[in-house]
Amino acid sequence: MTLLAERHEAELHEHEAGHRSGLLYWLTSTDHKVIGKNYTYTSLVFFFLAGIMAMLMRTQLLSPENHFVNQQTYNELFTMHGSLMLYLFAGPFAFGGFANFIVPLQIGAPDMAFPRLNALSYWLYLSGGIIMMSGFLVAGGAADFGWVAYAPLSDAVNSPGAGADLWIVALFLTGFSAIFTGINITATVFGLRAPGMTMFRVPIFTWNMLVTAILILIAFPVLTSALVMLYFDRHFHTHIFEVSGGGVPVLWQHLFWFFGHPEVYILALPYFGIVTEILPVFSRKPVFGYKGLVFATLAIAGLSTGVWAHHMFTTGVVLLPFFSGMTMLIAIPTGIKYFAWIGTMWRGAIRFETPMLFAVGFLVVFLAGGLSGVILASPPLDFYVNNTYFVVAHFHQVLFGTAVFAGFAGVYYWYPKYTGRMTRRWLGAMNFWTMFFGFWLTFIPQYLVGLHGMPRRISIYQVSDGFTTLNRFSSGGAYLLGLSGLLFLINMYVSWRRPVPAGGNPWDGGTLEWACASPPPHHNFEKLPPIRSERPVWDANHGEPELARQGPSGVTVA
Amino acid sequence: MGALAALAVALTGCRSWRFENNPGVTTQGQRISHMFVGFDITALAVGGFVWALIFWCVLRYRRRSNDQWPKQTRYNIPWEVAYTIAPVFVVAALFGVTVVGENFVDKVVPNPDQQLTVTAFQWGWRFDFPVGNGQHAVVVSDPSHFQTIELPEGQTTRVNLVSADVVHNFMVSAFNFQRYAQPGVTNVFDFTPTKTGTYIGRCDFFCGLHHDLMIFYVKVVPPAQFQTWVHQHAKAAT
Repeated sequence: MTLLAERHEAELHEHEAGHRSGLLYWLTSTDHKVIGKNYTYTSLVFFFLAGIMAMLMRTQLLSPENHFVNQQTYNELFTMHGSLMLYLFAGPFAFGGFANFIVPLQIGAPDMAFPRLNALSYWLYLSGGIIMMSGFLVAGGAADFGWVAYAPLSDAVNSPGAGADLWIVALFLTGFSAIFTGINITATVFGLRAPGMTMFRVPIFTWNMLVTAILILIAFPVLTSALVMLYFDRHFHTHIFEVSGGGVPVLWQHLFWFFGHPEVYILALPYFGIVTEILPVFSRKPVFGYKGLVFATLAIAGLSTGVWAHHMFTTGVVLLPFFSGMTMLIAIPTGIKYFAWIGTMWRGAIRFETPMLFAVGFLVVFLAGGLSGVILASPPLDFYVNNTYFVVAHFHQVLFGTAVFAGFAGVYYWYPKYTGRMTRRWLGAMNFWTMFFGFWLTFIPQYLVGLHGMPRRISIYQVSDGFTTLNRFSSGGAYLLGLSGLLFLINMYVSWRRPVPAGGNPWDGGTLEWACASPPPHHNFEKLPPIRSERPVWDANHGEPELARQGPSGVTVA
Repeated sequence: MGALAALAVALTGCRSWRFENNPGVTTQGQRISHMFVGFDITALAVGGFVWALIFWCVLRYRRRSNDQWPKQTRYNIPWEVAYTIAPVFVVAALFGVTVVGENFVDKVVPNPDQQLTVTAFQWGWRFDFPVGNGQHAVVVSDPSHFQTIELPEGQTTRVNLVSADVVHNFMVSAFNFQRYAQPGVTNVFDFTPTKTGTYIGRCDFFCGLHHDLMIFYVKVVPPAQFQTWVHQHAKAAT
């Protein structure tokens, strides 16, 4: 409460100052919307950089014995592609970009709980990103041990050079950035909800961001500590991960994946939240099975902390049935989510605006990644395909499905709120369909070439391996995905040069962010509608018929 | 999706009812191949069902006029309970198959027919077959010479797998099997080849610059031929 009072006063002063634009404002702002936009734009820059790296790698793999890039460059490319996509795009895009912009709006708050900490998060993240990329400028090149940096390959003997150190320091900084954001989101959702916004009226997106924030607080400190240990091993001869000094190399794998698997859900849950916002709006129905979705999210988060060693089935040093069973259990809450999403569309009045195209596209493509995930959860099957292109296809389907399909759905959905402008529908549709077909064309051949025995992280294969045709198809798909990305940028450019005003609520959205102007004013809300359900704006615009007409079975009677 | 599946089949140039899995040329690998087919069928059945529901919604429930206001259904407890319980059975069945399968694959017999110590290093493999009388047949495969080792068909070979430097991964794709070679850890496993032929082996965990050149070949031969080969290579241990 004190937080709220202090901020109102602070805002009044800023209001008087009246500076709303310009470089100085952008550099010094603690407004959640400015920071959210900064995160969104910065993470998209990293996304496109990492995408270009993917194109370079797919070009290298286009032909057997190809020499488009040399081996060292290829190793740097896949390391940086993975690092950028996972640490600097998929996570910050969600819990930095969307969460910052949308969470305070959805709960009727004027800002995040700790605005200055929020700004610090962003600047730490940007510094980390620049430091990581600067590896390409130093002698010896960028980090080249994969985004997982397994010890002892990542030690000072096997990976000398500044690129590796820059990578470690960059992750250390972005790790703290994520931790601070996690604290901020948790405090905001628990402390700054508007009157009437009970926990079971909080929109699913914000629920998922809250659970994500808690997962960040569980997972990221482990990674950050492991990075400190690795840095000490490299420079102060601590031998934590080195056999020669009595250390245990496999400890790195445990620490890394204890972070790494919750991280997968840190990357997935926010995007599940985005889809759960979009499906009801474009189906003209409330979200189906709201409480089931909340409990499913909590179950996924809980289970995700007990599955890390499924990345280590082939190490021979983990208890297979436990980690296999826990991993398969995650299919159950994920299944609940799928049925809730289908239940939301069921007997709805679905309209395929661009966000809805991407949201339904997410449902279709993510399912494929989820199903191959259940295959990989079985250790004997993992013995066969672990570290082959089968796994590459699996996690790209999962992560591309969430961070790109659902992420772009979110961009198209909230873009009018961010900017006050609409995007072009036909460009959005072209963006979607090129991405949809590019996605299958890229990753289905990768499953097959993995089953045929192609390991990941090799830059050269032979004609006799028989990998050529499948790799050609995959590269073709990757170029199609590149074209899709280009169409996205064109759409943004067109909307920038020839704006079409959006108005406050272009999609007939039901949650609170649609109650304020687009873009929202500095203090967000002039006034709030009464909050009596998880979609107060819908109630205000269309009355509250469903409350009055609820039948005894819990199914609304018409 | 059907078109994509057809494309997938066309891409590989042959129809395969094993869903493109390797048949597996060891008893362990065959078991994994059979399990894989079972999991593939389950995944496609579950996926087909869910995809069908999604496509049904997409086709059937499109908004046809702007005045269309559907029932505002928020929940339906019986259906929610059903879709929570049903997957439990699928998962339980898959887990059961998994546990039985992994016990079979990871089983090590008390008296293997042949011992083999494999040492992975940057960037190659050292294969050491003890042949009795303190003699060893040693084969070293490195980027300058990809070497071939022989293994006896129908006999169980015990592999003791270690690493001399970083984490590597011993993979013979045709065996449907891989295991990490890690500093400080000795991994022990058996395999029993069932089909003669020459198969490629690789490192399947990224281990530095020449990771992709950690290639060797495994030639599965009748036991008598293997004995000849191994004794030809035998030398006193150094």
